[in-house]
Amino acid sequence: MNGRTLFTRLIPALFLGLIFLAPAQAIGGVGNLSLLSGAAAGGIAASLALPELGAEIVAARALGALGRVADDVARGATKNNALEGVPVETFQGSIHRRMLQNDVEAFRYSGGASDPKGRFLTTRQTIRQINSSEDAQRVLQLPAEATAEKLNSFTIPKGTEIFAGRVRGGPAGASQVFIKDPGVLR
Amino acid sequence: MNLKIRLLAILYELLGFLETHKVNYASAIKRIVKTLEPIIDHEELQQAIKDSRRQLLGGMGSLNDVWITKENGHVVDDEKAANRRLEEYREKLRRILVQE
Repeated sequence: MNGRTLFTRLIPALFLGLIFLAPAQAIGGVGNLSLLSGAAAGGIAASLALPELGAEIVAARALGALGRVADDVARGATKNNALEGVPVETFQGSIHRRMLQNDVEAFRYSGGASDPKGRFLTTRQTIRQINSSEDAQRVLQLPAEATAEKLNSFTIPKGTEIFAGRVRGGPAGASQVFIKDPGVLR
Repeated sequence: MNLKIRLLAILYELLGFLETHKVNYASAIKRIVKTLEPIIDHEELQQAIKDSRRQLLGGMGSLNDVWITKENGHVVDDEKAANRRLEEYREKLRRILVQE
């Protein structure tokens, strides 16, 4: 690599790196989306390491009361509409937004008032913590009417916009994925 | 009690909407309505509203999670329009439940 190549290739790369790395560090260190890496173990190529060119990270700190969260996000949404239509009150901590670059396998519990297809899904890593309907209700903070009798598996196709993060009120490692249009699920 | 009237008005409308489309979740709304209707005490109402937040504004299994589609066995012709209307109901409820 000669001096000119170094200048034309390395400098822009460093610049881009700063753009994507700096916000990730500022919101508390979200170096990777390990919560979704279980899908890769399931046989579907799903490389979700962040920061990654093209990935966008939106931080919505879940701070205390529901109203406070909504207020914080409402203010953020004025500047960036990325979280519009996302039920931010259901997340704890940061919400990671991205476009999937590969198909990803995800899961849902249904039963009672809850149907197989819906807007919230969870990860393979999370369902490893679940051995019964009661576990599912506790880990995913399901309401009483959602009886979690059946586990459904779906593929979220490449190109889908997802919002991932911790389940509010759930144990550490309980992750959820929100999608705006479950019509894409296969 | 103004809050209760406003909340129930939305829930009645939402219940009718969900029943029209044969959405299972109507049973959960019916239960919330039955809980709220007889309440006259302010503190009791606040508690009932707090309890219903998880049911309505929670994640998986809550109203936030509902997606109207034939694939779920719902009766619907225009899925896009039905889900848009459902989101309007959610937004109305969110405004009341988050503010109170």
